[in-house]
Amino acid sequence: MKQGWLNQGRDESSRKRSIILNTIIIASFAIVFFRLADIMVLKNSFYSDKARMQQVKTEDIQARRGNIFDRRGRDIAINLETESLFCDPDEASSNPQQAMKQLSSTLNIEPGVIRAKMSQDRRFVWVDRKLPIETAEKIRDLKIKGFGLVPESKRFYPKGMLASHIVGAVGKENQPLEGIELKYDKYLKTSGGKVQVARDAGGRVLSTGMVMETKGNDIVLTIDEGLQYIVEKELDKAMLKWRAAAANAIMMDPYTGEILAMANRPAFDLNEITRANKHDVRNRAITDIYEPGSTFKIVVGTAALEEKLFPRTQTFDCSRGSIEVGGKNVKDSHKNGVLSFDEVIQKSSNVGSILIGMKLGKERIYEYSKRFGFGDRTDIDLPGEVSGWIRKPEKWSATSLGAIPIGQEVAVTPLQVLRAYSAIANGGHLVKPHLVSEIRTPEGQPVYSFRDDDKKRIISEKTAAAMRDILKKVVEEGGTATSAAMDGNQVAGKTGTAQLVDPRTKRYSKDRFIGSFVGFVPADKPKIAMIVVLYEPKGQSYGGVVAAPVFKAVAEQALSYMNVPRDQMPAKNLQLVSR
Amino acid sequence: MRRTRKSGFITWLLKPLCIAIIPLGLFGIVWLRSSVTKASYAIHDLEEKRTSALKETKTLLAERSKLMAISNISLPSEGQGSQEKRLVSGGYVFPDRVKVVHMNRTKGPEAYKASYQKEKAD
Repeated sequence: MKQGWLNQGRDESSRKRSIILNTIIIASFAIVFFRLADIMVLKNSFYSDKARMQQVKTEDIQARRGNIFDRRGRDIAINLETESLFCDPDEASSNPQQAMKQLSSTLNIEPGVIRAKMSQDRRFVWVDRKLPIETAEKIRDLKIKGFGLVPESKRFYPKGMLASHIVGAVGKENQPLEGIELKYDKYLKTSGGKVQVARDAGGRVLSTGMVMETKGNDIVLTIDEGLQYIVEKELDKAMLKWRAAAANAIMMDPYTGEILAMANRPAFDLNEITRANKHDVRNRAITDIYEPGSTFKIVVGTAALEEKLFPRTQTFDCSRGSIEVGGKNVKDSHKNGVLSFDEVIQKSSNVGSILIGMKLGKERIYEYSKRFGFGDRTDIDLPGEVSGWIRKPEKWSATSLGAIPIGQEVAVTPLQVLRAYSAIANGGHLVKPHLVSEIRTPEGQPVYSFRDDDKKRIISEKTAAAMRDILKKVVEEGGTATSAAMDGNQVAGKTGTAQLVDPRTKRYSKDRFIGSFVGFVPADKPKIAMIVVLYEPKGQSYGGVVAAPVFKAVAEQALSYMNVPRDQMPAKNLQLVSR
Repeated sequence: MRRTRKSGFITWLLKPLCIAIIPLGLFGIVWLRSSVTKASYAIHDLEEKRTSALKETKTLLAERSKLMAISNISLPSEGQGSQEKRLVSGGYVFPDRVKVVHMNRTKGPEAYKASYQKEKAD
C-alpha cells in the first residue's frame, strides 16, 4: 500500500517534469520560429541587402577601342593592357614613409610627388596611370595598405611616328584627339557597363560566364605601311637637304581616291602626343592653304582644250617675257619666245597661261576651277579639312586675270591639287579621296565599306588624254621637271613654285617660296598620283629642283613595292616574276 | 490477410531506407550545390588565368608589331650600287626593276587541266 503511494508520487513528479520539458522545448522552438520569421519575413529586405553587400561585388566590363589596320592588315593602332595605381589617403596614412619609399623606387617617381597625392583630402587619388604589367605585379607584391590597382587599356601605336597625321591619337582617358581616332570615334569606342558578381568571405569571385570585355569596331585604312614608309623616308631626306620649314606628300590611287600614303613634316610620335608641338600635329596636307602657283595652270589648259578654244598647234608670242594685266606686270622666269599650246604648259610660261586665260575669260576660269574642286572641301574622312578659296568672278580685281591663271589669288590645299590631277590621270572623273576602306565588328562582320557611287565626270576622256600627253612633256627634255623622269616608266606631272607673302611688307617675298610637284605614273595607265610640297626650302626654290626629285625617288620604290611593270621591257637579263 | 515472412523482411528493410533517404537526399542537394559553387570558383580562377594570358599575348603581339614595322627593318643592300640595289621590307625582297619581266596569266586551259579533261571525256 505504502509502495503504491510512492509509485503514484513518482509518476506525478515525472509527468510534471515531462510537462516542463515539453514546454521548454516547444517554447524554444517557438522562439526560434519567431526569430526566423522575424529575420526571414519581417526584416527580409534589411538582411537581404546586407548579404548582397557582403557577397555581391560590382565589376566594370572593360571597354576597349577597336584596332586600326593598314590595307594589308598590319597593326597601326592597338590596345595594351595596363594597370593604374590609386590610393585611399585615409587608409594609406598608417605607414606613409614606408609606402612612399617602396613606391618611389618601383615607379621612379619622386617621393614628394607621392606624398602630395597621399596628403589629399579625398578617398580616391590616382598615383600613376597605365603602368606596364610587370610594374603592376611588383606593386601588387608589395601589398601596401591603402593602395590598389585597376585594369585600364592604353592605346599603342606600334609604328611610332609613321602616319601620325592620319591616325591621330588619343589622350590619357582614351579620348580621341586627332585624325582617324577622332573622325571615327563613334565606331572605334564602345561602352563598357557594369556586372554584378558573387564572391565569398575570402574575396574569391564566382564565375558569371559573362565576357568581361567589350571592343569597338576595327577600321581598315586605305594606306599601305610600306608606301607610307617610303614617302616619309624620302620626305625626311628632302627636309634635311633643303632645310625646309615643312613638307608634305600625298599618294593616291587616281581611279578610286584611296589615299595610299599621306605624310607631313614636322611629325610627332603617336605614343608621345602630349609632348608634341601643336604645330607639328597639324595635318598641313588638308588644313593649310597656299597659292599653288604653276600647278594651277592645268585649269586654264584643260578649260581651253575642253572648250576647243585653240588647237594644240596654236602658238603664243611670249618673246617679251612679260605681260601687263590691270597695270601689273607679270614676268616669265626666263624669256621663252614663241610657244605652242603644249609648250606653254611644258615650260610653265606665265605669259602664255595668262594669254590662254584672257581668251577663256573670268567666268570659264572660275567654272573650271570649281569643276576641279578648288574652293570646296574634298570631304576626305579626316577632321579639320579646309576648303581653300577662289573668289567669284564679280569680285575679281583688274589684276585677277593676270594672277589666277598662274595660280595666284587662289588658295588651295595639297589634297585639292592632287585630286585635280587625278581627274586628268583617270580620264576625267573627280574622285573622292578617302582613308577608310572598311569598318568591321571585332567578329569580322562588315559595318561599312567605302563606295563612291556618284563619280563625277568633269572633263571629257579626250581632253584628259590630251592633258596627260602635255604633262608627259613637262618631265621630258625641255620641260621644267626633268628630274622627275624615271627609268622604265613615263611620268606625267607639273611643277609649281609659289612665292609666299612677306607678313611685314604684305608683298610677295623674294626669298620665301613653296616648291611643289604633282604628277602620276605610269603616265598612260597610272597606278599612283602624288603631290610633294616643300615649304620654304633654302638655297633653291623651284618645284622642279626641290620637289620633283622626291617624287622620282618615291615613285621608283613605290612601283617596285607595288610590283608595277616597266613601260618597256628590257630584252635581256630577264628575271621572271609571275603575278 | 496473411503476412508472409518475405513481405515482413521488405517492410523491415524499406522503413529505415525511407527514413534514411530524406537526410541523404538533403545532403545530396547540399553537396551538389556546393560542388557547383566550387566549380564556379574554379572556372573564375581559370578565367583570371585566361585574362592574364590574353594580356600577355596582347603585349607580345604589340611588341611583334613594333619589331616588324618596316621602318625598323634594316635595308642591308641599299646603297651597294644601283644594279644590286634592293629594298628589303616586311619579309619581301623586291628585285631590281630593270631585270623584272611581268608575265600575264596564261589564257586558256593549262596543260595538266587539259589532259585531265581529256581523260574524263574518254
